[in-house]
Amino acid sequence: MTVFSVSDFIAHVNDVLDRSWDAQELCVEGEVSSFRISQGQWVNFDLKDEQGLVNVFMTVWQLRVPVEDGMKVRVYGSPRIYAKFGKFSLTASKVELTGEGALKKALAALRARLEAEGLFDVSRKRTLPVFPNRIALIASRESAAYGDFVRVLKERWSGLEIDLYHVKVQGLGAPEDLIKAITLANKFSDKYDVLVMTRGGGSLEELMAFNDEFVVRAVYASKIPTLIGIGHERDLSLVELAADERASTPTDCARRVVLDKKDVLRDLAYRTGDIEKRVKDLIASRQDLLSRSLSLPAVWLTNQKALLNQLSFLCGSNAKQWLDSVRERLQSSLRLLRSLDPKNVLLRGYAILTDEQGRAVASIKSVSRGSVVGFTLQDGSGTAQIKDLELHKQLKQSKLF
Amino acid sequence: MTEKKHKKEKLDVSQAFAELEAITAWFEKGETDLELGLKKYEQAMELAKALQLKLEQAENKINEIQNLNK
Repeated sequence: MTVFSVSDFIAHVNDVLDRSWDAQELCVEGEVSSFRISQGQWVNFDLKDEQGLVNVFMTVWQLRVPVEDGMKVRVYGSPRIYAKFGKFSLTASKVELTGEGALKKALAALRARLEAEGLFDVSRKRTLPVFPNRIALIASRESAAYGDFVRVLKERWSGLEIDLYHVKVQGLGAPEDLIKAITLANKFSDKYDVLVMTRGGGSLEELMAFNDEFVVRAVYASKIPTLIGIGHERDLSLVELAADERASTPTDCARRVVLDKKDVLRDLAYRTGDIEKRVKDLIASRQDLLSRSLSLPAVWLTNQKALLNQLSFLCGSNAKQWLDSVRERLQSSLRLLRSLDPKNVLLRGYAILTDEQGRAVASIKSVSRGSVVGFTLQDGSGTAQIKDLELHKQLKQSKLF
Repeated sequence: MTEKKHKKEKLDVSQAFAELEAITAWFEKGETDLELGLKKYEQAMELAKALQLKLEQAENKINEIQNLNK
């Protein structure tokens, strides 16, 4: 007969329970009731079915899914008697939702909460670099998603360095793997241009790691810009909402992360062609300028010559006109002079009187009675003595002018 | 020469494209400096050649990060 103290008994039973229950392999499924959180850190609820009920105890940090009464869940953990109160509980390390309905409901609740917190804000989304060099890839190396991503990437772009963070993408430990990978990649955030997370399609249950609150938060906190493509087009996981850019499939991930080099090479050819053309234009315009500069003096000279020709033509015709007019004026002056020649007057029977000095006597006042004057007629000259003088009154007046 | 080679090996595609864009913009402005234009043209052709070479020859390298679970 062995006698146990109460606490020894409880310790013994707990020991037996521990050894008989493989917490890695076994779990209990049931419906949640009386769910409550105390002091902001302890979670308590009853797990029941038609015939039975067991209390579940855990910390809020271990509870990764939003749980409420009436939900069907799977609880992973160890059966244990809490010594102080002698209460039997299932001490849970993890709770998983089961059934599409419960999952969807939980997902909707978590989504609303994270959305309200601003984790999906469009305003904080970063633009992915156009030409990434180094990519942190979080995927399962065995998955078709990984194969598709790498293949399409190879078709589209070259010279990339891809660091694969191999992770479990579903089942137990998947969220932890994802968080570790995101955290580790972010330790080298300077060396990566983009963080890509991808997996192929699956049931909502299989994709639940990508709806895990802490994985979503890790994505949200990533310093490296994130591109996430989970499942098919219709599947929308919460990590995708938190990512900077969402892709619909792994292939779409590859298309979004890099440009197609065929397009880029075409663009490159167009660009260089354009630059080449512009250089040629520049050279041509320079040549044009040069030839214009060279021809300019010649043009100037030609213009000057033409101007000179024109001027000299104008000069020539003007000079002739001027000469003609001068000649005309000369002729008329000559005519006038000729008409004024005193000899012509003598021809008409007049005579010129001169005094002793040979000056023409134009006035009666210049002579006196008895003085000798010279006279000239048309065909000869002589001297004469003044006998008589008479001053004409009329003549005297006209002389005044 | 070695410096040039070194430069080619370390070609930053995004920077190279940005430089090409800047050169295109320079020409689009209708600049008339022929000497500078020729220099820029030469630079553009070098960049384009390096980019083409990189895209046509280089393979993507994949390394698996081993210490995830340590």
